Amino acid sequence: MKELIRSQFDAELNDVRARLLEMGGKVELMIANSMTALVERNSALAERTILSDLEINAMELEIDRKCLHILARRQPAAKDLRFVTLALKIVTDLERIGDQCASIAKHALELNREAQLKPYIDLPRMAEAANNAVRDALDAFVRGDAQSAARVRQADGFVDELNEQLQRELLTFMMENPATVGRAMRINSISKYLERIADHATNIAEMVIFMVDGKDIRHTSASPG
Amino acid sequence: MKLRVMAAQLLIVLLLGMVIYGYLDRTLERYQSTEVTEHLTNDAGLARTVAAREIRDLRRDAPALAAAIGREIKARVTIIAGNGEVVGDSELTPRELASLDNHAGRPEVRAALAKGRGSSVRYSETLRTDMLYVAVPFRPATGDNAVLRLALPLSSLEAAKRDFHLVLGGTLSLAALLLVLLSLLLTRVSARSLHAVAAIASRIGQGELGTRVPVEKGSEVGELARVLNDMALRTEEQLGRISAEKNRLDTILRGMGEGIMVADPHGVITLVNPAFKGLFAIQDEVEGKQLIDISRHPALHDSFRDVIAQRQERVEELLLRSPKEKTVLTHWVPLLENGALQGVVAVFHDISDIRQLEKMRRDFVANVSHELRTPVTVIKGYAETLLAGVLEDNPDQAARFVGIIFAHADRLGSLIGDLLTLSQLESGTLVMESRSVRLYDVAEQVRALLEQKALERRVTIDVAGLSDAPAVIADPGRLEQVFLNLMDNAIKYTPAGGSVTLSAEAEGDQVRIVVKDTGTGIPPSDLPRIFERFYRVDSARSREEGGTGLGLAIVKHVVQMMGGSVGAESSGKGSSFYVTLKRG
Repeated sequence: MKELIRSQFDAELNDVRARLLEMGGKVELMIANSMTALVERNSALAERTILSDLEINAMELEIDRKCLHILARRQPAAKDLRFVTLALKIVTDLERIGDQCASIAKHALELNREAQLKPYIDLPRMAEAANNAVRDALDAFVRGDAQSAARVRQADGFVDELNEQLQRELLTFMMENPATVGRAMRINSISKYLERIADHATNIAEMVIFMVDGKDIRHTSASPG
Repeated sequence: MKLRVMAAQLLIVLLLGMVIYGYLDRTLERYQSTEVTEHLTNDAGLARTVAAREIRDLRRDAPALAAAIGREIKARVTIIAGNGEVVGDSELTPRELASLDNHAGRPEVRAALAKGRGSSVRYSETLRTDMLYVAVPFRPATGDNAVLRLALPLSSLEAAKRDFHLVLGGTLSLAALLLVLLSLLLTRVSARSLHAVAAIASRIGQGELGTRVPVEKGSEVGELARVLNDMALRTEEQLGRISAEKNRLDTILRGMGEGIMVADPHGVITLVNPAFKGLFAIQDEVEGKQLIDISRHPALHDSFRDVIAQRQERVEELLLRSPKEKTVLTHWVPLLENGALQGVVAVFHDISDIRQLEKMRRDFVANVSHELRTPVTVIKGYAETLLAGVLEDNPDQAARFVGIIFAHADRLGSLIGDLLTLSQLESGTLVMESRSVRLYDVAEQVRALLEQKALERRVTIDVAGLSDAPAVIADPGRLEQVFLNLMDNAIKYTPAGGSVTLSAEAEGDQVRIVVKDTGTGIPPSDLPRIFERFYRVDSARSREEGGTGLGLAIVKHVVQMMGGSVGAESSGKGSSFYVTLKRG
């Protein structure tokens, strides 16, 4: 009987894990799609990306409910408790990433109505780095791999740098020609969203380290020393 | 088992022994007492005759006679008068006789007087032992009837019986003991061979299928061993067939270019092949893991769920982003067994190359149309203007317009010429000569052709490096075309004051020809694609220079048809194009 309960419990935990990863997969696709919509000026893809945020929101509610159910009925301890609380936090981060992708897609829709201000070079690089960070964080979660989670924190620095560089560049555009201000502001927002996506990925990675090692490294420096 | 068999055997022996013992005991006892009684009766008869003759006076002769007979027949002899008074006894003195009680009441005496003979077994108070009495009447020469009684102590009989019991019991116990030992030995022997068979059977069970039991002919264990060997042989054959089949399937799966994945209805992966692992860049073991752990691609999970729910095949294109962007055609098939869903098989076919080719073809058609339309539009425009009156109104301008029309018609002509050459090269209808050609001669010819152009641009052409280069096998006309295209390109992209240098060196049975310029160079990202048709690093500049965008594509095709290869390297300080041809 005890074993039966345990295996049901395991199945519930596994279900949460699977849904969480599925949500992660959708979010990864959203990051890529929102950037493709911008670079290839594909408004239909932008619309689809905005719509898929609804799915992400529904999944957040579902996973939240499942986690609370486990907490209330099973009263997990130790590693299981860490896993469930972690899932609750990861789900919030993923949902935020989804929101940011939807926002990027909305800005892309607007930008696609006007002439392209400049070739998008840094934004796709940032998007790729942010997407890699999310993917690495989730991969670290899948494998319980604290080392690759640590790498995600370092990648975050790269995205931050690109963001600052892009902002300086946009500033020169706006100073030269006030007509570009509207578009430049949108591009600036997109850059900020990407920077925040990388931050969320870092959050997830830090929580994976907590789950694996039981060591809380939030609000500490990424590189030792 | 062994103990039970032995206990049963022992029980049977003991029971039989008891029955035999009881029976023998009974018969022997009966036989013995009859024998003794008869013997005693015969003696009594004899003694009676003697007594009848010898005794004159009962009271006087009896004691002596009794003693005499008693000595002879080794029995107690008692002579009793008719009234029961004991008158003589072989074991008692006459004085003692007086103290005896009257014997008329003794059963044997009574029977003797009444029936002429009597016998009985009694405990004798006198001798304090069980006695056999036999009495017969006789008539002495004088006087009344008297009785002669012989008595034998049964103690001798008892002794004989004791001996007999001892011998019989001993024999039986010995027989039982022997039996136990024998059965122990026999069971031990058969148990040992059974143990051997069991040990081998367990080895066969553990997978040592080649093991065989030695067969002992004629024993039950031998039969068992034969059956066991048969079974092992059949199992071995069956297993061999199965593993051969499995190996075959494994080899097929391993060799397949398509990725294969089998998962159970819960999404747990049960089988994949190396191609699948390559496609998803997985190094670790996959079997037993969840599909979600392998890839989080949403389309993958949607397809999986759909196939599980609908139980219908599904074909879908999947765009993978990591590790490399790939287009994968997935074919999902539900695994149904007697209507029950056992899982899902998915085949992943990487069609990125096919997609890339399709894209190239589409691009080519679009490019050709575009390239053809531009000069045609220009020609049409200027011709219209001329027709509208410029021809008559302004002859000078008209002449310039006609010049422009001519230039574009020329461009159109060379474009069509290049396209035709390309299509001939691709269809393989072009006949290639192949003979030994001196590289320097061809290069010098081309240099002469391009001399004017090079002078205008102040670019020097140096073909001296080929003066003692080895000869190559080629079609001279086509080789000239290759040199023309490469050297023309080099001049175009080299700024004033630069140089184009040709050199060649032998590499085994090949000759490597290098056309090196000091031009602007080619960005590394473009290098792999410059031999594609209509691929231009800088399209505006290329058209300005009058290029068709097909030159390098033609070079590549021609060299390949002559059995060689082409390539390009570039740094910031210029590019090198090289052509490798067979040495002649």
